[in-house]
Amino acid sequence: MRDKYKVKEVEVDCDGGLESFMDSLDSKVKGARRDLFDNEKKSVKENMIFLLNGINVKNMKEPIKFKDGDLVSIFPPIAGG
Amino acid sequence: MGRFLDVNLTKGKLSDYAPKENILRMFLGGKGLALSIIMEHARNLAKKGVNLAELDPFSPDNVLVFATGPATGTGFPSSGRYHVMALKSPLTGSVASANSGGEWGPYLKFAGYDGVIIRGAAEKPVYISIMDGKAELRDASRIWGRNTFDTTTMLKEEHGKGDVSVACIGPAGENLVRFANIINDEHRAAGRTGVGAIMGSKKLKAIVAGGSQRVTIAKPEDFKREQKDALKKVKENSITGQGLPTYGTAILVNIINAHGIFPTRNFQESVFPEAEAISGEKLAEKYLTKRRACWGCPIGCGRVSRVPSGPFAVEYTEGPEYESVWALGADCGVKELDAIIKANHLCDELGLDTISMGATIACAMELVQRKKIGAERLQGLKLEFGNAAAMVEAVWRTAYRVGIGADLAEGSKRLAEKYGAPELSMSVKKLEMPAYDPRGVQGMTLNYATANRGGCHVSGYAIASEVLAPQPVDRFTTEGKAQLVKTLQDFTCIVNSACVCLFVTFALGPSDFAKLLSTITGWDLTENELLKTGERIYNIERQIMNMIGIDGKEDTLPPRLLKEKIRDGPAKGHVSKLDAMLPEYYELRGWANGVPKEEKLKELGL
Repeated sequence: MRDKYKVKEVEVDCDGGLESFMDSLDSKVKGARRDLFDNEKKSVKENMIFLLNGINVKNMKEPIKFKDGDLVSIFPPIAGG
Repeated sequence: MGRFLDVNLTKGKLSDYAPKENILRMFLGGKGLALSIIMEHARNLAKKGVNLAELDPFSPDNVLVFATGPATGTGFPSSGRYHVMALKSPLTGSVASANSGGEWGPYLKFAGYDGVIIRGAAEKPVYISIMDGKAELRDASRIWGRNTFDTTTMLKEEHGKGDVSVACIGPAGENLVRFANIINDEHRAAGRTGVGAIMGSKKLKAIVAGGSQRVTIAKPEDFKREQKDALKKVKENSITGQGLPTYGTAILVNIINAHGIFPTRNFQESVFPEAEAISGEKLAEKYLTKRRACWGCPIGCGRVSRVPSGPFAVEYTEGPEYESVWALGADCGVKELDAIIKANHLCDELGLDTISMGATIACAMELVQRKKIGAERLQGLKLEFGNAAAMVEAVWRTAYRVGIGADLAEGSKRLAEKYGAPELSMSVKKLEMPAYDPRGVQGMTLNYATANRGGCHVSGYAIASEVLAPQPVDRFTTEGKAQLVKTLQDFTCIVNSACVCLFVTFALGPSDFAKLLSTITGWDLTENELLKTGERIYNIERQIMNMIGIDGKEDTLPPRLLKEKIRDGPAKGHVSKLDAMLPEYYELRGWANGVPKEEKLKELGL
């Protein structure tokens, strides 16, 4: 993703919701919304690893709500070991 | 499948051994078949009155088995692997187990053998040459003392450069460093549990293999069809088709650190602030030159790297892999990637397991931090967290057992015991744990505690389900983890007995294995039979451990992980909740206190 977007870190303003976050990110990183967001399910795409303060959002019981100072880390499907 | 070279080094005698058909089907090959051979050897020793608990791993009575599997060298995706096992590991005192890729496994098959059994010990250094069905013992005095690269080059020059593959030990194995490994094809390692030191104790320097014998496939046309399907799945899977080929394993540094489970400074912390500096991305940007795949591997995760200048310059090396970056990096508080590459290179050159090496240095650094090791013993070597040069020097000292290196060569558990703080060894069953803090991934808690070979991530790689999966299971919960870990451990036994790379399991499941292995062996294997075979293999390994005297007392973790909460980061406040999972795990396994019950052994035909 760093190779593709040529960006490592970016600061994003949003209203706290996931879609607003994606729009804001997309305005700074062109194409990010298309790659990360599932428009039908209104959620993070299945194959992406999307962490909010180190916790995978797919394990969160409540809808995502971003706060000031939150750290989001995004990874494509990778593995190792 | 089923032709083993049986070598008695004491007598200098070589013969053929062929396991019976029913044994082949019960144990498949690779790890499973090696274990069945070791069990027979252990029972024979016990009959002679040998006390297995007291048997010295460096005794000629220890047995070492190299085994390929039915898949090795066939063209099953990523089938360039072999397994090494021994009755007793010099590091753990339990069953030794290690696995490697590269080319040696297929080349052994092309030489006409499926495996090699090593018994006894030679008086003078020897190596084994296996060429086109003909095996002989040869004098190794001119290569004894050489590093693994020189040994490989010299033996290739003698036996035919591009046509042979060499598995050998370096000075670390000769000097009986308890975590010495076996290196094949220069940079591929049967890394863990000190199998290289066992070779050293038997004065066996290398095994050279080559030839043009055919690898048998029972139903070649069916195999081609299944192979095509499997290759398609591997290519189309985002991890095996894209992530691993493009970035290799070191790409995990940032993701594991972002989850707050990247053990730092001997597991004192779980986030390494300088992770970016040692990441796979940084490796690709600054030092990566190209890729190198193992034999028949469509994934090709292997990296070739170069440090062009500076005190840690290396002209050509391979790796470092994720676990090595962590062990020699974050675990030692080292943020200089060039130093990590150098230390990793030295480990390959001298024949040392990178995980145990890094983790043992980290343990020594904490012993120094807590003033348990005095300046006199260190002789000016500043073994402090973050000291990259000291970390690199410690590798040299360990391989040659010089000064403090003689203590490091014993592994972290004996080191920490010697200096009065055994709790500072981050090991399970004396095997140093790899690069995931289990306090923030409960499946790994259970896997580390129960893995037969000790602190091992690849016995049941729960990280795949708890962290890397598209829909991960909750990593903090203990619910469902007993079943998850048991299934992973059993399935991994199949992978290591078929002898293919664990990475293909991101794309291929048990049913794919059943189809492919059926066409290779001619047996009508089902997914259920395979999983039962995996369970049998896991249990026979545990059965041998029980004969050695190891039971549930050792299915545990260092007190730091059970009692001390993670201090900071996304997994802050968590500890390893082993007690919440272990009883259910034993129940599912049919074990009591780490010992398989009679009815379970009967069910599995053991």
